[in-house]
Amino acid sequence: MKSLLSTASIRNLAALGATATALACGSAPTARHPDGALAGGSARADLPSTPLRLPLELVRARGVVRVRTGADPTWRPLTAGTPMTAVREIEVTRQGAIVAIGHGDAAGRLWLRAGARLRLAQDDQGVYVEALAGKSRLRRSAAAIPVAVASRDGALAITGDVLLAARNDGTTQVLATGARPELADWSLGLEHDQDGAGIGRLEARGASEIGEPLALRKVDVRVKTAGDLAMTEVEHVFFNPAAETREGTFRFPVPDGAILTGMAMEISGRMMEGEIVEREKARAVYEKIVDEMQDPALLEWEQGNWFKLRVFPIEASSEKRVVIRYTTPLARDADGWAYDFTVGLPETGGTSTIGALTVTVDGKVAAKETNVAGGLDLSVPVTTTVAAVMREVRADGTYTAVRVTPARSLFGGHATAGAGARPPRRLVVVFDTSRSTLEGRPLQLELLRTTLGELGDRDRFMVLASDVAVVAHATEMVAATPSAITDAAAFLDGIEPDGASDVGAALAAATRLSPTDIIYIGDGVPTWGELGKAPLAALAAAAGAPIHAALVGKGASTELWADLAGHSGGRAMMVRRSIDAARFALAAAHGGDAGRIRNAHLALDAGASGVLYPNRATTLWDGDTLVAIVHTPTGAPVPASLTLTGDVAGSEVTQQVMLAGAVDTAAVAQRWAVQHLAALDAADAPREEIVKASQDHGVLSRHTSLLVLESDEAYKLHQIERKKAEEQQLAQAPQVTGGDLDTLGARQASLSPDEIQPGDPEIKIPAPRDARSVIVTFPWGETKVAEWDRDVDAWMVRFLIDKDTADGDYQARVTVTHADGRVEVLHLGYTVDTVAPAMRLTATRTADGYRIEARQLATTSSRRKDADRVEVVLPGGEILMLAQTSWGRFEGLWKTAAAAAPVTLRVVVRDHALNQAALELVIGQ
Amino acid sequence: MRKLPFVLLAAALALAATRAAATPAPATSRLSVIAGDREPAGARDAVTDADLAKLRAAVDADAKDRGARFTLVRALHRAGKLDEAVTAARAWRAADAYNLVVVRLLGDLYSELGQRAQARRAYSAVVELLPKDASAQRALASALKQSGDLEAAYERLTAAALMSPDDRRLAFELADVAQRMGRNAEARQRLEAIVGDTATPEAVRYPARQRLAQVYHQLARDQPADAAAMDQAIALLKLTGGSENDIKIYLTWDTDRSDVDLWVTNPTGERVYYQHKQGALGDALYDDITTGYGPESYTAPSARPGTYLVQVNYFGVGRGNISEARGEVVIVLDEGKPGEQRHVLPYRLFNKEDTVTVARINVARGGSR
Repeated sequence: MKSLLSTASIRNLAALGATATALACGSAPTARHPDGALAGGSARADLPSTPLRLPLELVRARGVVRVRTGADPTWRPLTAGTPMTAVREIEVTRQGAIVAIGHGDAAGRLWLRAGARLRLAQDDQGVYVEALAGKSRLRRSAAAIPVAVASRDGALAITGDVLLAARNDGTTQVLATGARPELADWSLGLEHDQDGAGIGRLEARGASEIGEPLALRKVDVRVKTAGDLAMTEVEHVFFNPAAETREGTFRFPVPDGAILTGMAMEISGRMMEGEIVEREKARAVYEKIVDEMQDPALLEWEQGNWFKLRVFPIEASSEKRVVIRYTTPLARDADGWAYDFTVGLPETGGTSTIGALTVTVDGKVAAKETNVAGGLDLSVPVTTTVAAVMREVRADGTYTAVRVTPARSLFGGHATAGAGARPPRRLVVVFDTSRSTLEGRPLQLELLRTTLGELGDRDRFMVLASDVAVVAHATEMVAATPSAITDAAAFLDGIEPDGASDVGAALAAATRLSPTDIIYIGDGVPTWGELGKAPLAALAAAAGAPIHAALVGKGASTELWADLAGHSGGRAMMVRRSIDAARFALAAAHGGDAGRIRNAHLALDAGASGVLYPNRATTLWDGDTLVAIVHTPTGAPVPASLTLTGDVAGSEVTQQVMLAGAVDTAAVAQRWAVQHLAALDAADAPREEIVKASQDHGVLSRHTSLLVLESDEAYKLHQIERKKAEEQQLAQAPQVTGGDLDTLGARQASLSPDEIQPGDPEIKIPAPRDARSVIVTFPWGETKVAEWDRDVDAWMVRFLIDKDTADGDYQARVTVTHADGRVEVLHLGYTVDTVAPAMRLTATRTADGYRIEARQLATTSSRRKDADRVEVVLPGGEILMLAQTSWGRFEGLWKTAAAAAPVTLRVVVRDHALNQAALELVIGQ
Repeated sequence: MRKLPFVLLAAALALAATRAAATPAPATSRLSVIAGDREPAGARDAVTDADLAKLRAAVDADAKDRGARFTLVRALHRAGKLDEAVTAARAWRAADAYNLVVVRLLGDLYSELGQRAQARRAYSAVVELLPKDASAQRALASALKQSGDLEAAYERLTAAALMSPDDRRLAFELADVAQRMGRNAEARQRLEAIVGDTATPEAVRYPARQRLAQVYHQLARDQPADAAAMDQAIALLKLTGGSENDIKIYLTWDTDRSDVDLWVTNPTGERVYYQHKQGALGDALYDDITTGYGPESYTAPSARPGTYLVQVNYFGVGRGNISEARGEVVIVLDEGKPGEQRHVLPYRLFNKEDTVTVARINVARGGSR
């Protein structure tokens, strides 16, 4: 291989030249920087052939780390305390690892996710990195040895923090971490002790009252994808080895961003589904049943992302089976979509191994292991088709979700602003020292240290301790050196949490310091001075700087700060754990590394009805996708489009988002409900309203719990409606009659033509016009919602048959939901046929000419006699159409004198699928 | 809206030297007020070191005993050992972080030490811990009023009123503070809203009518051109005994579900209180509020020469967050007359059955009537 310098495009040469020049001068490199979205361009840089000269040091490993050095083709383990030189490739399996490029991160640091493989090289210009597989993260400070990444756009010199992913075309995707901090979660998890992920734990107590974790014999993770969502079901089988019946507490960490949708527990050999019940009622029923020594289970939110299930009884020497269900968004990969699943066994306490683990995604086994210890990090590619517009039709209306990706053109020239290119920052940290921060102080200080630790050498900061008064930690902004950060933390540590929160005074004080960014660390609830949202928003706007808010503590609320952050171009995040703090720090310190739309709003078209979420200002980074969901009540028309507005660097931008072509997708209503519940909560809506919304949509709220009872009778006894049971029944055994369709003038649902080539045929379903929905599910899993077509007086849907579809017979499933809720299902068969018919042609002399016969032959690809048209082109250009006498047989009479010399006739044959072949028939030989 | 200055606020709680806020008595008045105690008799009795040692031992024996903690802090306070009282209170708060009694005690102690900023931080923690609790806002307003920080008290009451928009007693309290801040137009508006609202309980409406009459009188004095209209408005209030009285006393307190009583003993030795509302001298108590906050009012249309003893008794307490009761007695002399005087006397009651003598009103012979 040649040096990158000699093979990169001219543009990239310029970039690297700048780097080299900077190196020669001993100053920071000034090369181009990654932007927030996928890099464009086509040039690909080859790495120099020389391996890494710097030693590669293992900082931390959960997984198995191996390297290849020099010309040696064998993989060798990289272990802690034994740096390796001449490394040219590194790979990590099972779980991730962190490595330093050079001692003391001389050229930066790499985080490698399980499945990652990187090629490393080094020449006099610096270090080169190329992602060969999986995901990784690279961080390099401005003062470190230059590092370039082989991207699709050529060589990108890296300063700051970037995420790398291998593309199918062999290039490396580069994203600014600050723009998409959530994509770096896996790397942040490597830096913190594992407290459990993906699986639950069951601690049982017997007469001794001492809790003991039960062995986890088996975990089955079953995943079904739908659109951009994954529905995960985690089934745990625990074993109680004790000779006594025990009561237990099952704890489960729901992944970030997950919607908990259900749970079930095995009771007397039967899996019983939980129901969402008003929290206090659920507790009362649970206590009553425990008193009666029966089998209830009560799932409630505990803290952070942990849910707690009280289980009783756990029989002696027996297994206990518990199922948790949740919905998460799929991860967007460099080239597609992936389902991420992490099994993290707690490093202290809890279950230490899993007897057997199986992960199945859309019916395919992604992992199957026994005696799993230490965890597993999976990123399973998903071959799903994610529609831009998704829809779910329910009795209460239509829920339409649309993935809104701001066009790159909206960002103008602001899309490629990079970390190294930005001017020095003046950061003001408003640090809540009020009484409510009593318990959250340690996490607040961690946030402060982590966030300030992300600043560059040229950046300055000031901390304002804020409660009823505002106290600055210094008389002027100070450089973000380690000692200055320590001093600031010590200053805050010396202030006992006390007093109320005068947020308005803090914002005014911050504004006076002319900051480039404002960081807020506190519970986010103003309790003193200005309390109104609008006046506080005006104070925040006066600062003219992005506001990033980390909301910490038991009573923490994003209600105010989500708005302030959204308007200003920042982010508001709930921070409950160290990993959240690290994510916030990345977002707050590096959010400016990519272009962004501030004050982004979505709005329904004028006159359109419906409830749209998100309904507040937000910040959209270049490459972000926002899922907007609108609920349109039954009877009201679904809006045709939404409008996205916002501003980029002070200029207003607008983008229309069309809602046409919605594909029926599960869980759209649930996604809407999550945001609706949050809105109700923020508005202090009556408890009853929140409970009803929670139950109607099957989404937990802070006023509801999931309760499992031993039998349907028990639910009835305690007056708990069995919504889950009804759903199950409906899903498993829909009413299939087809009768109503038949009675509609005896017209049949039809697919025209039923023998087809790849393309876009259509299906016509003569369902009643007032049907709630007509949904067609195709054999490959795609669903389409039919539209009412006035012209043909039927529901119509067009679909696309991929050109790679194999010839054969297929069936589409049509589900008609009638106005009264009744469901009818029918199946439409169709044949994909790409092969033209093979024919045997014969000509027989008759008294007045020639009888021409065509007979279809069976072939290896098709035995069907589906030819439907045979035409013969006569010498004068006249067309003789042969008549079909039976399946595959055609004949006709060409009236003519006997041929004096051989005549060649051209015969054109076509089948039902419009496949066509031209043949020749020679007469008169 | 008040804005707090950057860096530690010098904005003040007028915490000390506010024993009784008063308008000056005109030279011609035969009525005068002598301020009494703000705490029950015995609250400041001498405390020996041996007593304190016992109390400390009690706290050491059961660190969770709030009663023992409270008694120790109070004893140190009574003994004048304020720094030690602060230390004991902070130790209590460290172990019982969300107890509002100790939060307020700390505020009181800082106030007495003259540490105004600290006092404000300590007091304000009440609403930080219970930001959506109207009673906490109200309790803090009471502490702030007692410290003389009417502006901050007004903010807290405004916040409480937003949380409990239908609470007419709270509305009355807000109108009262507005009036005391000199915002007569606002006080008029608020009181007229209370009086005009048919949902207002009579126990609040009647004192509101009385206060509204005072406001009308004040507006008439401020704008003589409006005097006729104000007189007409006063007449429409149909106050028993009219709006011009020698003595009017209001009692309010800061705790919900509790019962604090106003006792007024007239020069004949007759106590007018909840069990004996009509005095022989034509004086009368309006209503006995047994569910917290007040107001109770006493009226002596024509004061007799001698001394009127004004006391507050803590009759009972319910399940409120703060068992201690504190509040104010407002004494209006020569009500509705050109020489009207107003005296605001804060008080604190620590235990059920505590009684504090907040003032003596001396009535000289002769005078305007």
